[in-house]
Amino acid sequence: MNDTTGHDALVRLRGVHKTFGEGRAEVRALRGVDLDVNPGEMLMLMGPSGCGKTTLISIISGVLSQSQGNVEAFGYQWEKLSEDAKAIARAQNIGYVFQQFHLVPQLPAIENVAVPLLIRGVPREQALRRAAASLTDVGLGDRLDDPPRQLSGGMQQRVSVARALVGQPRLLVCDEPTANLDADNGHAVMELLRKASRRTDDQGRACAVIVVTHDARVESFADRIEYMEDGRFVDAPVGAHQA
Amino acid sequence: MLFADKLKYIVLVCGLAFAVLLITQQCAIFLGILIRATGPLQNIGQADIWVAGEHTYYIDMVRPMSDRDLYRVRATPGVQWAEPFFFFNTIVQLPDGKFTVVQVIGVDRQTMIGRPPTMLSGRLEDLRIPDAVLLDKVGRRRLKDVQVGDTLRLNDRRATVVGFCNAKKGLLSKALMYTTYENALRFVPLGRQRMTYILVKVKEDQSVREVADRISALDGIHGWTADEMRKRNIDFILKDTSVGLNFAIMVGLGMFVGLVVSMSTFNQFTNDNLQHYAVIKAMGARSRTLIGMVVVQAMTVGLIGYGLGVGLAALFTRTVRNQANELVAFIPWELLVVALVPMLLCVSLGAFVALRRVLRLDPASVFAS
Ligand SMILES: Nc1ncnc2c1ncn2[C@@H]1O[C@H](COP(=O)(O)OP(=O)(O)O)[C@@H](O)[C@H]1O
Ligand SMILES: [Mg+2]
Repeated sequence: MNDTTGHDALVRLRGVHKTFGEGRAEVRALRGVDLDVNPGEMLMLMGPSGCGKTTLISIISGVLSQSQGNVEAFGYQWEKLSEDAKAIARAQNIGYVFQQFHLVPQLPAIENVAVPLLIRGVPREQALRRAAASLTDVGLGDRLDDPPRQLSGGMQQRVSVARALVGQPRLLVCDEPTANLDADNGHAVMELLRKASRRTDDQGRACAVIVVTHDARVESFADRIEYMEDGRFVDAPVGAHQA
Repeated sequence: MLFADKLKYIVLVCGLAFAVLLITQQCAIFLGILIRATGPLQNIGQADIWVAGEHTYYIDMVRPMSDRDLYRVRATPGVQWAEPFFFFNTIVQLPDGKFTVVQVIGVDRQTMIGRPPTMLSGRLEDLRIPDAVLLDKVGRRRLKDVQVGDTLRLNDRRATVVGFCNAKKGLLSKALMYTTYENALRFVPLGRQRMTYILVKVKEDQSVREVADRISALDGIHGWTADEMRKRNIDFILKDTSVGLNFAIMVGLGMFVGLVVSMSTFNQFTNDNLQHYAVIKAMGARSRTLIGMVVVQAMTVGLIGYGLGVGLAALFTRTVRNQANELVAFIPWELLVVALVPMLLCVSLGAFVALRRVLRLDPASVFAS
């Protein structure tokens, strides 16, 4: 089921295990995960709290290393890269959207959005220009200079989507992006993420979006849904509709 | 990011400014004291060598020589001239019966070597009148605005004020009373060992060093070059008084305050922003970028704190100089450079505290809820 596609998958996981801690405190968060993320798709990961969804996307995006198995993303094997090389690869390929938005409260929206470009070393003026364009794309072209606290939760999440997309990443990783939003705002954000999965990057390559959620209201936006339980994918959507 | 947290930013800048102010200002006063300690030496530019009894270690604590020593110095090869110079404290009685301490300075009546640098009123030549004295500004003030022509009593002798002069004060700002060497001996009876200093000029073709060594080889007396004399006075203040230690304590205190404020604020600030640093790390900021961020922020507050501290110290120095003129603080450009050191130290340690946490931060913690 997960290995339907061939060599052109954006991300490929084979037999991935992740164990936290040792001895009695040992937690087996992932127990043999195989997964392909294909270009152009909107993949949704669902499952009860604690089943390993966050652990999985952390490993996919190279901020956490697996205990066992093979992870390949954008042609890199994360474990073979140095910390700095991983950082560069993340900066070039991945955009993030978080449940708690994680915007810098003191910076205006436009500067928050410019951060990923500044990290990459894009000159400030150009970064701000592209940030403004990205904010306009999510419908916030008139709120560029507002700090996060002057924006509603829905707007803040749209700012973070703009931030995730400003660098034209090939993969968007979203952890519970709608958990803190009401239905309307949740829909608006999912709409944006779905649109993002239909993009191509500046080199014409198709992109992908992974959304971790246990919000059943947004299931309809997915191209594909994978259900997890106890660190494994499961066939049947057991307890998937607990929202 | 730090700049946006106004309160912490202000605390940090104030802490650094305070440390820099305290350190700069204490150093300035200390330098002022050292310079003041050599004031009497600065008044006398013509002498290459100062001769006094052995074991003289501070200008005010002289071991006098005998008249015979003057001839021995004059007879030393390489000496162009050698003149007696009297420098000793005594008590002067005012017309109203009160007393004050003065520094009696006796200069050679012919050559006037050791004379006051500038005259304010009266004529230098009038010093040759019997029992004539010149007073400096401090003397005029301490002696309740004495006038030219007034008579003072010194150890049952009469002295007549013939003018006023200006000269660099010593550490204790004693009133200076200039007179001739002969008068001075009468005003301040010292017994047979009465020659306090001998000022020496070295012949043009001779080395000051060698002549000083030749004089030092003579029994019971020692010749110090003007530079050595200056160093000796400064060394005395540094080593034989607790002045240096006291200033060191104040400087240490400033350093301590600066470090505590800087390190705790940076630590606190890093704590508050850990999540943002994690986000930035996950987004692909390399260590280099993170170090750059922290260092730029640290240096910015550091420089602002430095500027404020040094500025306040300069203001302070100006104020004390304009007022009583008693406490002279001195800020040479070198001190401005030296004051950078505590600032840099505070800022580096603060940044180090922050960086240690930021660099160790696990980017995976961005997903932690
Ligand atoms: N850093 C960690 N240290 C120890 N245990 C962890 C850590 N991160 C996650 N876990 C554990 O791994 C399991 C999976 O967690 P997570 O991936 O966050 O689940 P989900 O995102 O599906 O709620 C949980 O039991 C959690 O307690
Ligand atoms: Mg989770």
